[in-house]
Amino acid sequence: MMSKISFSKLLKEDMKRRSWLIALVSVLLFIAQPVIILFLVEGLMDSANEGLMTLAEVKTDYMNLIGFEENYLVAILLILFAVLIGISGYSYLHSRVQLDFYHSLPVKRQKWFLVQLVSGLLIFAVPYFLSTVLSLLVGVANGIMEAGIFAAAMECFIINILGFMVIYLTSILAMIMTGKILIGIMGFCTFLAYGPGVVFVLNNLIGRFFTTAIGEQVYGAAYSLSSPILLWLKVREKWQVYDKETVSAWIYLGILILLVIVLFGLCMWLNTKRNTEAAEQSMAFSKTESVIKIMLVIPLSLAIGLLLSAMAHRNFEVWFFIGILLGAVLINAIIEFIYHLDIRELFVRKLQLVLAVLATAVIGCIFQFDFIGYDSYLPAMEDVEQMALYSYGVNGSFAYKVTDDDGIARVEYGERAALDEMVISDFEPIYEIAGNGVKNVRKETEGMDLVPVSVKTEGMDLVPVSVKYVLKNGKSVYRSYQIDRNVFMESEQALFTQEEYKQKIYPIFSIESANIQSMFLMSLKGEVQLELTADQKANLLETYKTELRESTFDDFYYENMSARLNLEYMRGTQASSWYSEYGYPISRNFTKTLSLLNEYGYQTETEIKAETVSKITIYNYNTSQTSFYSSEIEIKEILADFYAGSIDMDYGNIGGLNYDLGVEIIMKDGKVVWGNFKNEVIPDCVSSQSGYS
Amino acid sequence: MIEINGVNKSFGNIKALDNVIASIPDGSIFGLVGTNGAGKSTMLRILSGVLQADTGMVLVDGEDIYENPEVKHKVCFLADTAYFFANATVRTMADYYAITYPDFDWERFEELVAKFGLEMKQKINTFSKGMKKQISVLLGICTGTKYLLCDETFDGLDPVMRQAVKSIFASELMVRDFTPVIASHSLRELEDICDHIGLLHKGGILLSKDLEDMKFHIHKIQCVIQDPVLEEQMLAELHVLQHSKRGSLLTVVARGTKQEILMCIEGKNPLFSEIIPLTLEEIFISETEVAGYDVKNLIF
Repeated sequence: MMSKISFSKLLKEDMKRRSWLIALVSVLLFIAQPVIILFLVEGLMDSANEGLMTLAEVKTDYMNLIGFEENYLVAILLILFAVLIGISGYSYLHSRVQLDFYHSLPVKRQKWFLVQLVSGLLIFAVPYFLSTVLSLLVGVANGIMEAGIFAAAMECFIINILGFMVIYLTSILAMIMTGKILIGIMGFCTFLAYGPGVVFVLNNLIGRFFTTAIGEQVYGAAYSLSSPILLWLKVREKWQVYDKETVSAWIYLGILILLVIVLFGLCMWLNTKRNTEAAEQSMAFSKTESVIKIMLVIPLSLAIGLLLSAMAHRNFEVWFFIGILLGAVLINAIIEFIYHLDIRELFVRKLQLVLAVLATAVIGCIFQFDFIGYDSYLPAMEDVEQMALYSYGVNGSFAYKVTDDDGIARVEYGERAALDEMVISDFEPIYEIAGNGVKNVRKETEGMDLVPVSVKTEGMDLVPVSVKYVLKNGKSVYRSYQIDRNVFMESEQALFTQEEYKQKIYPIFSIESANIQSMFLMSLKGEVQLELTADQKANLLETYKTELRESTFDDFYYENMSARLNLEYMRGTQASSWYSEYGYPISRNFTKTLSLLNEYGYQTETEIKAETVSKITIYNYNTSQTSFYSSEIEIKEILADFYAGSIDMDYGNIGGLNYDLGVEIIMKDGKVVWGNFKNEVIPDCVSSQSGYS
Repeated sequence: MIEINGVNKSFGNIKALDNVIASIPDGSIFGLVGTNGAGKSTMLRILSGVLQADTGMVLVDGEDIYENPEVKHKVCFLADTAYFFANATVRTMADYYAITYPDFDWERFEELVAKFGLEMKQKINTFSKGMKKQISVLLGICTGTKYLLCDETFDGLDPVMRQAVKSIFASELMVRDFTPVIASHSLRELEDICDHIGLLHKGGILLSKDLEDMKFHIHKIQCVIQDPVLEEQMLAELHVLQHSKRGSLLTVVARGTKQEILMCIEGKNPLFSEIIPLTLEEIFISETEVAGYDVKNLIF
C-alpha cells in the first residue's frame, strides 16, 4: 500500500512555482492599501491639526478608505488578480504536454483541482490580509483606530474574499469548459457579460417595440444577479452603510455565498467529467457547443437588429429583421470558427443555424407584432387594488420618497418614484385614463420621444402619462400612455377632488417649515428669494397648504396661474439631503397666499406691460426660423396671447400650449422672459412673419 | 503484468485504438512498434491512466489504473515531449518527482546525472532536446516504479546515449522488478533491447510476441549444395519464407527450429552451411506476411 501524496506538499510546490504571482499580488496590494492609506491619512491628520477637520471626520474618512467606499483600486486589483490567478492555475488543462505530465502522476484529478484552487486563494488572500492589517496599523499609529473601523475593515475583507472567490471560480469554470487559453478568456468574459447583456437587449427591445413601456423593465435585483461581478458589487453596496444592518444586505451576502458554493460544486463536477484529450480543443464539452452557440446567437443577433434599426432613417422594422437575420448567420459563423478554427466548418451544422435563425426571428416577431399583448394590457378593474398616475406637468417638479427593500427611505425625482409614492385606492379616474391610453396605442407613435409636452398625432391632442397598476395578486405593472387631452383633463379634475391624491402629488404637505432652508417666488418679475422670519415662513407655508388642499385642477390651468413657489428644504434622514423643488403653483385664486405675500412685501405681476418690453424674438423650432418684433403694436399683440414659461410651463403641458414656437421677451431692464402661445391662438403678426400656421 | 482487454479509443470521428487486446509480461522489455498515427502514444497514455478508454479496460497487476493513485504509483509515463516547470533546474524536477513518487532513488539519480555529465543546478530550459530526453529518462528510472512507459524515448538521443540508456534499462532489470514499455516508430531502435514486441497498426495490434519465441521458430541459413536436384529437394522440404542465390551460395529464411533445419540441410550433403542471425526487420517481415500484411509498408 503506497502512502498518499501530501496535499500540503503539493500546495507548497504549486505556490513555489507561482511565486512570481505572489510577488506581484503582494507588491500591488501593498501599494494599493497601506501605502496609499498612509499618505491619505497623513493628509487627513494634517487637516485635523490645522483645524480644517474634526477627528471624527478623519476617522470616518479613514473608515471609508479601509472599507468599501473609497479604495476602488483594491476592487479593480481584486478582479484582475482573480482572473490572472484562475488562468495561471488552470492553464495546464489547455496543454496536452502538461496534462500528460500531471495526469500520469499518482494524484487524483480532484486533488489537482483542489491544490490549484487553494493555492490560488492563498496567493491572493494572504497578501490581502497582511495589507489590511498594515492598513489598520496605520490607523493605530495615528491614534484614529476604533472598534467600528476594525469591524468595517474585516467586513470588507470577508466580502472582498467572497468576491474574489466568485470571480476566481468563474474564471476556473471558463478554463475547465474550454481547451484553449484565448477561448477560456473569451468564455470568462461571456460568463460575466452575458446576463447584463441579455438585460440590456431585453430593455432595449421593450423600449423600442412596446410603446407603453416605461424606463428600464428589467433592473434592480434581476440586474444585480445577472453577473457574478455585479452581485459582488451589490453586496459591497449593501454593506457600505455600516450603521444599518439591513435584511437585504444579508440576503445578497447569502446569495453570494451560495453562488460561490454552486460554482465550486460545478467546477468540481465538470473537472471529473472533463476528458484529458479536451486540451487544445476550443470547447472541452462538445455537447455544450450547440447550446452555448444558440444562447449567444439569439441576444447578439437581436442586438445587431436593434443597432441597424437605430441607424436607419426609415423602415425601422425591415432593418430590424434584416439585422437579426444577418446577425444570426454572422454570429453563428463566428462561433463555429471559434469552435473549429476551420472556415469549411462555418455552415456545416445547418440545423443549428436554422434553429438559431428561427428562434431569433420568432423573438423579433413577438416584439414587433406584440404577440404577448404588452401594449394592449389592461387588467380587469376588479383585479386592481390600487393605481397611480404620473404626468410631467403635474408631478415633474417634485421629488418623491422611495423606500427600498430594507425600508430605507430616500427621495428621488422621476416617474417611477412618483408612481410608487402616488398609489391611491379610489382609482376609477386613473383606470379611465388607462383605458383611453390602451385605445390610443398606435404603432405610428412608436419611437416618439416622450418629451414632457402634449403631442399631436392623427389630429389627436395627446398628453403623455404613466400609470402604475397594483394588482390584487401583489404584482405591480407600469405603463405609459398617450391620453386624449379632454379625457386627461376630466380625470384630473375628478382626481383633484380627492384629498389623498393631492396630498400625494405635493410633497410640501409633509414638510415642516423648520426644515425649509429657503423659499423663492417666481413671477413675471423673475425669481426672488423670500426674506422671512420663522413665523412668517410658517404662516406662509400653512396658508399655502390650506389653499392647495382646497384647490381644484382648474385653479392650475395656465390661464389662472399667478406665480410659483420654489423651495429648498431637507428631507430624508441624512443631514446632507437637501432638495430643491420648483413649481408649487400659486393660482390667482390663492387669494390668502397672495395677500400674505403682499403683506410681506412681495407682489406678483399678472401681466407684462408693453412699454417695459424692448424686443421679442420668436423661434420656429420646426423650420429653425427666427423672427423679431419691436413695434409697440406687434409687442402688444404678442403679449395678449403670451404665457410665461417660468410660471406656466409645467401646467401648460396639460393645457394645450404650443411648443413649436418659442417666445423670448427681452425687457428694457435687460431681463429675459421665456414663454409660449396657446395652440389655438397664434398672433397674426407671428403667423405671417414666421410662416407658422 | 499489464493486461489490455478490448480497449477502444476515439477522438471525434477518428478511431485511435480499435479493440486492442494484448498483455505485457513482467520483467521484460516490451517494444511497441508502429507508424506515426498507429496509436502508440494513445496506447501509452491509456496505460498510464492519462486517458480513459472509451470501452475496454487496462489492468495493471489486476487493477484498473484510471484515477487510481495506488496503481499509478507503479507506473511512470515519459511522454514524447517531456514537461518541465518554467525555469526548473534538474534538482527542482527531481524534488517534484520525489514528492509524487515516494520511492524516488535520490542516490541513483545523482549518480546517473553525474554519469551523463549533467548538473543538478542547471536550468533545464538551457538544455538541448537530447539532454532533456536524458533528464526525462533518468527521472523516470529513478522513480522506482515497476512499469516505465516511454514514448519515443530514444528519439533525439545520440547513439552513445541511446546505448547508455539501454544499458541502464538492462541493469535495472537485473536488480529489481522492472518492466519498461518502449514505443517507437522504428524497429531498428528496439532491435537490441526488447524481448517482447507488439506491432500496432491503424489502432489495432497486429501481433504481440516474444522475440526469443519468434527467433526460435525462424532461421536464416547460408549454404552451398552442389547437386541442384538435392537443392530443390531441400527447398521443398523446408518451410521457406525467402530464398536467394548468389553464385553457388544459397541464402534461405525458413520456419522451423534450428535443429530441424540443420538436419534437413545436412541430409543434402552441403559443401558449407551455417545459421546466421536474423534482423528484427526480417523476423517481422516473415511474421506479418503470415497475417497478410507487407510490413515494409507499415514500419520501414
